[in-house]
Amino acid sequence: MKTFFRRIGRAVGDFFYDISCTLSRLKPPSKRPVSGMKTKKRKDMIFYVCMLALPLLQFGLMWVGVNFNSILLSFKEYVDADRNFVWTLKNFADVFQNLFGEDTVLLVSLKNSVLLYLLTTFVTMPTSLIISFYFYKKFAFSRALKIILFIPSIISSVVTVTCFYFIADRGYPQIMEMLTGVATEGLLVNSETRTPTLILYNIFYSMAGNFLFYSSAMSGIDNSVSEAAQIDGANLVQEFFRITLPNIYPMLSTFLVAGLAGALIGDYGMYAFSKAGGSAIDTMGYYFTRGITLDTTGQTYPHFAALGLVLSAMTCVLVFSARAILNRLDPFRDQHKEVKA
Amino acid sequence: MSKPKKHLQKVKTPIGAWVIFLFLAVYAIALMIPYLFALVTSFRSINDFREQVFGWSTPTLDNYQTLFDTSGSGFKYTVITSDGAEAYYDFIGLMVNSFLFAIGCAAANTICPCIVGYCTARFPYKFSNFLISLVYVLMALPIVGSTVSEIQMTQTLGIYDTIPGMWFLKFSFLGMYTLIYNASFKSIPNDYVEAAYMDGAGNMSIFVRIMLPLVSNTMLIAFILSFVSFWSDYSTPLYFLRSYPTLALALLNYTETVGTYATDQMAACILLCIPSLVLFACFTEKFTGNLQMGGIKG
Repeated sequence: MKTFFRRIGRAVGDFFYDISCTLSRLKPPSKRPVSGMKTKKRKDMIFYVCMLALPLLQFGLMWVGVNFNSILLSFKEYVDADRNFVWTLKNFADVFQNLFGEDTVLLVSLKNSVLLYLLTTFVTMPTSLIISFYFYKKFAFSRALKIILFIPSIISSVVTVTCFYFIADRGYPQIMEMLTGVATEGLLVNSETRTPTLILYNIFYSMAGNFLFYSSAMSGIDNSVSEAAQIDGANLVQEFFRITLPNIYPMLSTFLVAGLAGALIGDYGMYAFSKAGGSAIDTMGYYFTRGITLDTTGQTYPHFAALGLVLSAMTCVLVFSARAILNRLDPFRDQHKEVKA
Repeated sequence: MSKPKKHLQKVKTPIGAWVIFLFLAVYAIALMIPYLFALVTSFRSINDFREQVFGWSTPTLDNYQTLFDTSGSGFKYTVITSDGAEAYYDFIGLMVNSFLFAIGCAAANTICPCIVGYCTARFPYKFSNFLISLVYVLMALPIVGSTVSEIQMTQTLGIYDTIPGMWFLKFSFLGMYTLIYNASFKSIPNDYVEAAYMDGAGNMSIFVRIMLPLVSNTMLIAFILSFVSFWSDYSTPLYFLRSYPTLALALLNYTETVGTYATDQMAACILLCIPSLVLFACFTEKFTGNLQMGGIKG
């Protein structure tokens, strides 16, 4: 009751105050700052809600909605072109039968994806680390080399694949014929050389990708640590293995884990290769892209949704196991825990 | 307390390092060979190329002229739209699509994390903490193969096969940029906001006129990197933009839709690279600077 009268009193007061301002040709203030803090909080809240509305709507539709739909989709089977459906577990049965069958496309794709991941990771990572150390120590021509090696990262993979295809499939046979006098097939057309060529391509181009991250992480190491090591007589090899590598271990493990997240679903440029010259090897990403783009009616979408769920579950297990193992192997485990805390 | 020196001074190159240099020099040349091949081939005639793949003849601009020729004999890219009709694009049309797609998506991918980063840094509500935790958790959660569901969702929302629809698709705050913006806004002293508020500025003018200029560098880097990535991206248009193909997608389908004219194709490759290379040349330091930030955080 008391509040009610207080509100009426304030409203009446505002009214007469506005009239007196108008009469004296003064611009009336919007409201008297009686409860300034409350107004500010309210305004803050309105601003906060308005600003976050669109990002949250996008998240709700394109992440929550999409993943929820993905789960539902994986249990559906379309029975006609109008996308009428029945609920079923058939999609999962198909996926498991194909994944654990003998020489099915899905199994071959999975095997190739894992093989390419392992090769690109465990061949390129050591090389990238050595290159990064070179840049970190600012040896001769570091800056120029850094810029040149970074260029493939900003050029579209379609361009790189197209150029590589022409060299490997059209240029190589001509050179070989000139040199040996024998007609030779292109490296990608020839089924014997195709897989090694595509593996080499992936290793070759992924080596240039990560070195900048590594060298930047290395530049974060306190200078006094390496100076102390140098005073104690450590050479560059010792510095690399005993100081630099342990100090950037958290970043290395993050890279490994992040790479693992895309290991099973990686395309490794195969779709682009198949479009450039029709020669590619099956990888999981290629299987997805080819399947989805060929299906214009969406009848096979439930199969891909189920496959996506199975692969996500497998990737989750891999990622969290790898994370746990890599955390245990951390040489500065206790220190990094303290930093995180 | 003085800050420890972060960067090492240039040191004398030992013999072992020269060996690595030799390897790096060979590797760098080998990396550049395909692009040099594309550049040289783009200035050759198709007959010369058929005779000899590697080689050099009198340079010609015919391939570039063919690409920009809007008459019937010039470059023509055919698409089947989502309505099932046939549509034709000339090279300029593809470039326009590419620019609209890349600029819009890069802007969406820059603005959305900036808004969320600002709100979560400036307003310490519980929901802000929840949002930041959500970003961390979803970054660690490997969800793969949801493309088909995304296609269905965009079809349901009516944004499938539209360029503005793709902008909405990329208007996402999930990812590293939100965390970077959050950290950047948190590092700005609150005095700026309080002084502006005392002067009568509202929340929107504080955000637009005071806070955004302070993080403009970060925004520029995010925009450039996103632009380069969307400019080169062919998978999003492949799945979602049937009627509005981009240059990258056209190049992917070149052999099937245009024909096996290698020299034209190489000219198209060179033209696709130009915007990214120009940006890289103008902002080399920013590219590497951003990577440095990511590297240390990693």
